[in-house]
Amino acid sequence: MKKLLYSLLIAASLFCMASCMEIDNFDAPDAHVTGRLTDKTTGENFITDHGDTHIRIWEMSYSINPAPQSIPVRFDGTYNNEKLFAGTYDMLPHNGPYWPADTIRNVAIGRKTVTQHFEVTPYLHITDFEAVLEGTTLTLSCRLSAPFTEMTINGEIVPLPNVLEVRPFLSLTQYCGAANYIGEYWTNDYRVNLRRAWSNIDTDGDGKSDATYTITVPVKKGYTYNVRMGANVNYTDQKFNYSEVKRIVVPND
Amino acid sequence: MTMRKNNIYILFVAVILGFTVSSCHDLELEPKGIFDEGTLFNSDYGIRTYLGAIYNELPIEDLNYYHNRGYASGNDIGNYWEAQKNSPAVLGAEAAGRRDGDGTPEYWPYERIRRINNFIEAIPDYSAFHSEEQINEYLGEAHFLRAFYYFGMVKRYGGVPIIREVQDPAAPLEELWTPRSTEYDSWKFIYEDLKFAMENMAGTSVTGRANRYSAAALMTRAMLYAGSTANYFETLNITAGPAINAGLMGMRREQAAEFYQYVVEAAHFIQEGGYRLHDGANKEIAFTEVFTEDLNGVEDLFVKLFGPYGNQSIYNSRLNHSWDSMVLPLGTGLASDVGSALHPAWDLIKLYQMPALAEENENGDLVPVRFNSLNDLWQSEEMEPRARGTFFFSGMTELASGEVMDLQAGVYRRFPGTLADATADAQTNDYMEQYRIRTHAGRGEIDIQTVDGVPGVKINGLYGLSLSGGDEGRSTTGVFIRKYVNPRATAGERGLYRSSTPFKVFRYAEVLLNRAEALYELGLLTGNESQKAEAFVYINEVRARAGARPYTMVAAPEDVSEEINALYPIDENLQFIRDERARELAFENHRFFDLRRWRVLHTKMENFYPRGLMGYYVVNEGKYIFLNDREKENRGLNYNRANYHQQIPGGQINRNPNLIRNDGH
Repeated sequence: MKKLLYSLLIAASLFCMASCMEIDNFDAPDAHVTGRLTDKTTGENFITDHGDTHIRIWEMSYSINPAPQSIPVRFDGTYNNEKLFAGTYDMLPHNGPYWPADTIRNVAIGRKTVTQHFEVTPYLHITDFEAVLEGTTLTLSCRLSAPFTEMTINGEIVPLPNVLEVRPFLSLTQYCGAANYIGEYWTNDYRVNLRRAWSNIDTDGDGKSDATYTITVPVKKGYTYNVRMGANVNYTDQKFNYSEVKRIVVPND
Repeated sequence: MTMRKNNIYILFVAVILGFTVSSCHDLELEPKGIFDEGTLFNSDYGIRTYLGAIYNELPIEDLNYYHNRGYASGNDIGNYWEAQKNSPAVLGAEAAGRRDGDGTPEYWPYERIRRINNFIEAIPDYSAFHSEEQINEYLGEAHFLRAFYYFGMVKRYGGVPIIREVQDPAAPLEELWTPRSTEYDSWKFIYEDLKFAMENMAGTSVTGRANRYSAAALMTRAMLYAGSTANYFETLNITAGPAINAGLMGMRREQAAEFYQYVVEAAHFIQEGGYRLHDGANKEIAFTEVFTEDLNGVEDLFVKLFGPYGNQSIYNSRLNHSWDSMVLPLGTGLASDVGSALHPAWDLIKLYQMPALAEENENGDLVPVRFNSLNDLWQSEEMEPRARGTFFFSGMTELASGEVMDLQAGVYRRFPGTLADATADAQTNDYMEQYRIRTHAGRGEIDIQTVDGVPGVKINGLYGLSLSGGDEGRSTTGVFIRKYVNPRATAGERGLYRSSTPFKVFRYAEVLLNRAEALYELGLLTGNESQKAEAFVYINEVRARAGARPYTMVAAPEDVSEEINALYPIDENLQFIRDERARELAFENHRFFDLRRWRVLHTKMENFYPRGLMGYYVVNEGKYIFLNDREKENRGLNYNRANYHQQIPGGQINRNPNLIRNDGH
């Protein structure tokens, strides 16, 4: 009797284990897409921070109403994804601080590396960025310029959205921006609150802000900071356009 | 052994026989253990049973509502012990608590809507059992319930699929894949259902069940939400995609006036029904009674009952909540489990009429006002009684236990500085390090020290701040919530899931506030000054019951939008109306949804840290001061503006590919 029970048990467990032996009939996704985001007005790579902008993709060959996926754009404006399913995708630069871009339809992404570049037009440029250190006081200044004050989108003339604020971004790593900053500096004390239309910022119409925006922040001795300034406009995601990064070494004594 | 073998053989034969014989039975029998439609719909008792389950799951943000997990509908259905700690009050800046993520969970109650549709289609067939009037009342009630479920969805997603009829599961899939209606049409659908309910429901009902004035109250709230969305959606400037282009999310400003007008009409209907504010000689007590007494037909328009109460009303869920235990501190006669996990925040407290806590010194800097006792704050004539009915300030007595809420947070050796020195964004700075003393005392302990040679200085109150022990058990902001605390509770009723204080879903004060806001917004849209002025008649009605000074409308109001970083101008009169809502409806889970529909939540909640109203003793002066310190847990809050229109759940899109996703995510 015992033998019977044991053999039944072994048979049952073997039966259960059988499903583990089977090899998955799907390969891991290995399609590869890469490329960069460039600033249409300068031809340079688009200046951003990690997580501020994405390439949004829709796998059109899989579903009639596909869920969007996002590929983050790196600090230097490039992006890369090596783990996609081969198929046909729609691609769009998404939620970054630039005028709405056009979706590129039906990009065939397969085993071979596909390179897809995108051109975007930033809402703002941060120009004349200066960082002056005096003792433990860092004075940051910049001006804004707008490549376009209006844009024709789907046959409608859309004005540049209201400019919201100018902020400093300080970081202790090589990365710097709205995803990599020292939180103490993100307060209302260290910003320029604008919340107004571009026509009130650039009254003489030369494409640059009339004012130079200056923000003074305290820094600590013996630290090396990476510093940049950013400004944002009131669009869907309110992300920032940035200046280049400056390295500030605060001496120890 | 043979015996056993025989047994197995007999058993085997019996089982085989059982299988074969069962096929002779007819399977198409009415199951005896299930009440079918015919049994339920031919009596009022049966209909109450049918509708009771639908009432239980109404999207009411009540005392159990968990911001990230949703509604509790039964004691073991979504009723989490930490629900109150995760109240929407946290993201509405009313209180310090917990919050994980800023979305609200998926809400897609078409299963309940199907049951309501089934009822609407079937009940006219039971005219042999009910009078025509009764059938119309049932139909009205069903339309109210359906509108309530749709309100729960439309305020989250914008336009949703509108299903008026019971769908046939055998129909072709293409027919079942109902696309989303526009947001405008979805709100209008709610309007039509509620209009039908107001015309057909009974004029009175038992506590817990809805009547035509409940429907009108929902009308004022829902249409105000619709009006605000139309009025302010475009200020967000979301890049148009498929959803916006098809009108599935958002509306245009021109559409706002229509909805605000509906609010005014429904509020008038309720006023005509004889509803009024509950008042009394003692304004503080009168205000607390609004939340602890049955005021059915007076101020209460619709109430959600908790606890066991047999057949007296529509509910029979035996659902309880833990409000007393989660807002009062641990202590004798107070909370017996967890204790004070939701702490009132300065951002709310500062809106009330109260004595000045700071004054300018000769240099023009703000310095804390010196008080002789912490009690001087709430005992002052200047403090509005409603604030005492909403909060326990330090020194107030909790009625059921008789305990005095001593909430002293710490001491300062001296206080030579300004308010800014002591309330900087940092948790500590050189100034605080030098002068401030706080304690790590355990629960139920008072720390006594010798400070600068002065012996016997009490560092903390019995229920006041301790730097140890996390965010539970004692105060972290210097104030406790009093609203909805049961003044007759026995100690046994102050544990987890032991409270059953009913929740006032709609009360007349909210109707007045809805009416005032709609009137003022209408006045702004059309330039009608008399509508603006009328708004303050209702605001002052609310303020009179609260014991607060009446407000006089400012003729040339200033724009105050800068302060809260709003994306559009807000005049100070309108802001006063909004703040009055915050004061009157505090902790009733309106604030988060209000800030959201005004589209000011994301700019307010940008790296936001809650603060408290902390009482300190200044040792060398022998005086007390109040500081609005950062709450010690120091949890920063943000709100993702994409969630003004929540994303359509992916699982639903998998079932119905015709659902278009919202833009901006």
